[in-house]
Amino acid sequence: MINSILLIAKKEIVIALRQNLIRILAVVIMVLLGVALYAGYVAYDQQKYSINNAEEREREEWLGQGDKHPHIAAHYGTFVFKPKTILSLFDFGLDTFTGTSIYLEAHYQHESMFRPAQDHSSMIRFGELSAALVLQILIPLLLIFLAFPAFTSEKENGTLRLLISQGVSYTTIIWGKIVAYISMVFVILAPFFMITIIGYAVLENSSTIPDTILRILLLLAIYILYLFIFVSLSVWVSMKSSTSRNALLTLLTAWILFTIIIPKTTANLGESLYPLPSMKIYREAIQKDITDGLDGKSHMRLRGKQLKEEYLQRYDVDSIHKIPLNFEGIRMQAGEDYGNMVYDVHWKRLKELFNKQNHISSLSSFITPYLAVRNLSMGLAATDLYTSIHFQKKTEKYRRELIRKMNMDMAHNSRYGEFYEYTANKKLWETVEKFTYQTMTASEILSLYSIEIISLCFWAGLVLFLLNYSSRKMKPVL
Amino acid sequence: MLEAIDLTKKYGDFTALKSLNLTIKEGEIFCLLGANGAGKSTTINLFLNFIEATKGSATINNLDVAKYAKETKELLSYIPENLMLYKNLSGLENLSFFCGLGGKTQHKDELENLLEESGLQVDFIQKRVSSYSKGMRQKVGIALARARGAKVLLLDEPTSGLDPKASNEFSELLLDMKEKGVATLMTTHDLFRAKDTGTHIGIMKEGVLLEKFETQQVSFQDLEKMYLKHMHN
Amino acid sequence: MSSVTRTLIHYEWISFIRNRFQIIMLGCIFLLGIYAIYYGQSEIRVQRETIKDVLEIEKEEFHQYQASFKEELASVGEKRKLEIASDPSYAWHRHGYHAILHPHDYAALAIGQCDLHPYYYRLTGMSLHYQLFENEIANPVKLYVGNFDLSFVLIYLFPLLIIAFTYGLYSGEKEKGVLPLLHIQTVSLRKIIGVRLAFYFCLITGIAVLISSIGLVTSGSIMTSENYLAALFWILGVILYNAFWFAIVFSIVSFKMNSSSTAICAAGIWLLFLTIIPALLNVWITASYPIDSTPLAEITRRTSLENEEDENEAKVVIQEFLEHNPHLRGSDSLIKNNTLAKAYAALTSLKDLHHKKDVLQYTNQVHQRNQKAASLHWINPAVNMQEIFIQIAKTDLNTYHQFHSAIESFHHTISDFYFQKLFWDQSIEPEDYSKLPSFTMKTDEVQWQNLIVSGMTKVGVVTLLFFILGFITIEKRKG
Repeated sequence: MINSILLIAKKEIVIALRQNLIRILAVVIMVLLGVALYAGYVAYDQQKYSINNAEEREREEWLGQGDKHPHIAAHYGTFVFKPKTILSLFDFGLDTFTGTSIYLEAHYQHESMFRPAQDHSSMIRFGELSAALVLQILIPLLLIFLAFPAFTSEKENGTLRLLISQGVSYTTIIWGKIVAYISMVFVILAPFFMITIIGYAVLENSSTIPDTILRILLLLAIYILYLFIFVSLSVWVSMKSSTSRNALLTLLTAWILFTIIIPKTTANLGESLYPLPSMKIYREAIQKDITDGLDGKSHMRLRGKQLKEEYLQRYDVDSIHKIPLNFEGIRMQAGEDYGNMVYDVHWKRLKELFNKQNHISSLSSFITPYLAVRNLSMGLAATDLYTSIHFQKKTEKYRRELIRKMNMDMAHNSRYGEFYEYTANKKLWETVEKFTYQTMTASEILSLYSIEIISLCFWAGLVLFLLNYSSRKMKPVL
Repeated sequence: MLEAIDLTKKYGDFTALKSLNLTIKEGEIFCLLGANGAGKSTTINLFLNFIEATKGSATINNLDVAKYAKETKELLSYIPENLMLYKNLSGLENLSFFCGLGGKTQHKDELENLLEESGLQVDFIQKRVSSYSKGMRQKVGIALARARGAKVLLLDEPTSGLDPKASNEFSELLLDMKEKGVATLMTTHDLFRAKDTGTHIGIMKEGVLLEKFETQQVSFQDLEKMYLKHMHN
Repeated sequence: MSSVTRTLIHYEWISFIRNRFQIIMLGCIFLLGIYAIYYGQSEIRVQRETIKDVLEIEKEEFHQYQASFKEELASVGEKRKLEIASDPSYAWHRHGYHAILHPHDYAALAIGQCDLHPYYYRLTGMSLHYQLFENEIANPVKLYVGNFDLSFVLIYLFPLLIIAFTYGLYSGEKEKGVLPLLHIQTVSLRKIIGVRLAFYFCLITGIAVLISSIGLVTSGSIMTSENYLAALFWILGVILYNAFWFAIVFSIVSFKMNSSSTAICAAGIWLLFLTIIPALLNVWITASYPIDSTPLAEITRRTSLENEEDENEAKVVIQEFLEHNPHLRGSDSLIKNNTLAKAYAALTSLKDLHHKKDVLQYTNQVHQRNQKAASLHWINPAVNMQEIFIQIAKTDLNTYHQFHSAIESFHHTISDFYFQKLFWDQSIEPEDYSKLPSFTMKTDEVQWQNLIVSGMTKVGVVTLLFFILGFITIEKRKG
């Protein structure tokens, strides 16, 4: 059996290699993959350089801002930049469409600015050539071109009868062909795996992404599974089709549905079902809740009064001037805390809307394996929405820490009613550590993509079942 | 070697083959004659287990082909009317591939010899099959049967469309195989070829084997008369 | 029309209406087109509603200011309101005006970049850049995947329909075995293929024009002055783009390959134009025209005077500001009054001035990059056509750049309005509220038309080239 499978695979490869079309396509794919990786590397390098520079600059600005009141420093604030991960050179993911820098200041959660796509004309919406795009969209098409005549041409040429008369089972033929196509793809991809591994050894010095090797291995496994699903599906369709032409048309239709139409319609559907608020409206709602209180009954002034009374009681004094702290700092921090709480409520709501929208895409991966792989690949490359949100969460945490330090310094070191009289200096600025970002671990990110993992397994199971079932059902067609 | 017992094949109401009883021993060439649709190819396909019998059984070496598909396939070799090989492979590569599938890997030189013995011109052995004539492809088929050491040869109108010379060469090869003890079942329209090559002849019509006799028993004229008589009724 | 042509068309029609699969495909694309129109319109409706809300908020804000002049000033809150309404030292950074880019009626058909760029800004006299770089809320996944609007259906799906209908025009006949019969007729093969292609061209383009017309009519009146030319351009574009794909199919068919090879070839070319070339160009452009937005981030920072209690520093800042604003220069005698507020205003204004160069450099970089991208439209009619559609619908990058320049001058008007009062120590009176600055955006209609026409010419030339290629090969090549 194994022997026959290998023999059939060998024959299939020899025949494929003698076709000009396949040779040309293989070369084209290799060139595209090379260009994609190179371009990805150049972009990664440029971004990394400018972000490192910007981070250094920001740090210097923060430390060198001179002596000033902590609250002014809190408004002066600082900037953080989303670092490029090394794996982003493989899968650009959403990096073009998520903002790259965030301004951190007191009272106010700024959204990230500068989506790189804004600097492009509409051509950017046609997509960018990344190695992931080649693997997700182009190689499946190559596999279709390879595999669509798998059975139909044997039928059309009459060689199927001869094969079967040699005592070869359908299962053997199927696996022989699958082995052949998969190994051809691997020959095409092998140089790039080598480059990746060498490149990893040479380049890796970024601490942004903790478990790169594990992620690479997982990516490898996912893509192998994905390509296997596509090959099997193509072979199955070829088995069920009466002519090569029909097989090709069916597979091309499926490919277009899988990679273009379904992903687009489901994303649009998500947007229609769960519309997002506009920035202005979102901000207004936050502002209103901060002013009137989340319950609508605790107005800002009321909260201020309560805080004052609480502190007067706590220190058992009758005037705010007698508290051993600068009450202004306490009040500001309390305002900050309340604002943060309100922001968290609204942000969570917004995040849930995003999740609901994207959940539809996730579920749709049961209709197209492309979506499962696209999402998982982005996730592992840390260029997905979850990572982007995770980054935002970390920056917000950092911002809160920074503001708290400023307010507390003011509370402890200055006196009520004074403002310009007190200045803090570099010592305080230095207590705020430099912002560093580390992505979630691979297992954390994978746990967010359980639907995609299940659907990928489902697809693998489905194609195995189909092949197995049909090969047993199949009678030699004559 | 080959035996059909009450072998019947129905497609719905239509009976393609009706209670065929037939035995072919080693070193025999059984020629099935009959018009198109008489059930000749059905018989071959049943022995190949390409289709399932409605009733009865087909056995090779006393093994039921339906139950021992793999074992019986190892014993047989099959050449259809128009033997199609992989066009992008050479005759030698095709031969090597199909031999390999039967688990009989042989050295390249041996396969080359076999092709030569089967009458394929030497300079074509390495050329792609797309440049072959039909006769040349049939020769590769014979070489394949030999290489596999087949005990049973199933031939579905192998000589139709061959020119007289090629046809004659093909007969020679069959006789050679016969000497080696191969049992052959061949369907054909060609009375002359049947008389010339076959050891036994059967005449079929509408799924029924009407006549069965040894070739030596009848002259060519009698055979022709008998055949036409059946066809006209 | 000769009788041969009539016969050919007649039989093509019969074979078309008997082919259920083709009818279903046409039906599907029609429904997808209608869905796309619906989707686009709902997107734009959301934008319009947001604009309405935003304007409501603005109206309410100014209504409160005006009302505060008439009210009895009973509470602290009301006093504060009047202060904000009348004192320019508060008003200049409190009064929020909205600069709004109203979506064109046909933006619903080609959403283009309008989900990526904010279409309204609330502007006060504060630093422009602090206010300019905030993003609109959007799901990045959705931005990445793109919109299922009518332009998508026309650009991506119609070519597939064309390929599906016509790839077998020659090979199909050959595989059916009727080719010899056709060959022995007196009419040339070129004519047979030509007439049948023309038949399908009319059929498919007809559907495309029909869907487009539905979209155009339901998205806005086609009779209004800003719409009728756009509608005409749109229809022309649809016809031209379909012609382009028919020319492609014609030249592929003319090579007389078997149907599988023809289909592979056509699918390959579709992929080439709609994915591979643009994707390649995008990474190439990103790499060779790198744009670093990090330096811009810093200019959004909110800053104040280094030493706010230092009056001298404040005066220096004001003096510098007055240098740049000759019409306010006379107010330097009043520098002692309200110094801090004036200094703050001067500082923000100066900050914008100082950063102008950086911003300009940035926008120039973007401009250069996209100039390069536009110059590559020659090689890709699909991207070119998409660009034309969004130019027609005014959802292209250029429109947003114009919007930004308009915002810049609007911001200048706003600041000036308040700074006049502030530096001349005047308060804002109720009658000033009838002279508030308002936003206008100038568009260059001539340049708009030229861009579209030149874009279409490029598509036309490429179409012609492919057509000639097919015309010559079909006779030369022996099938």
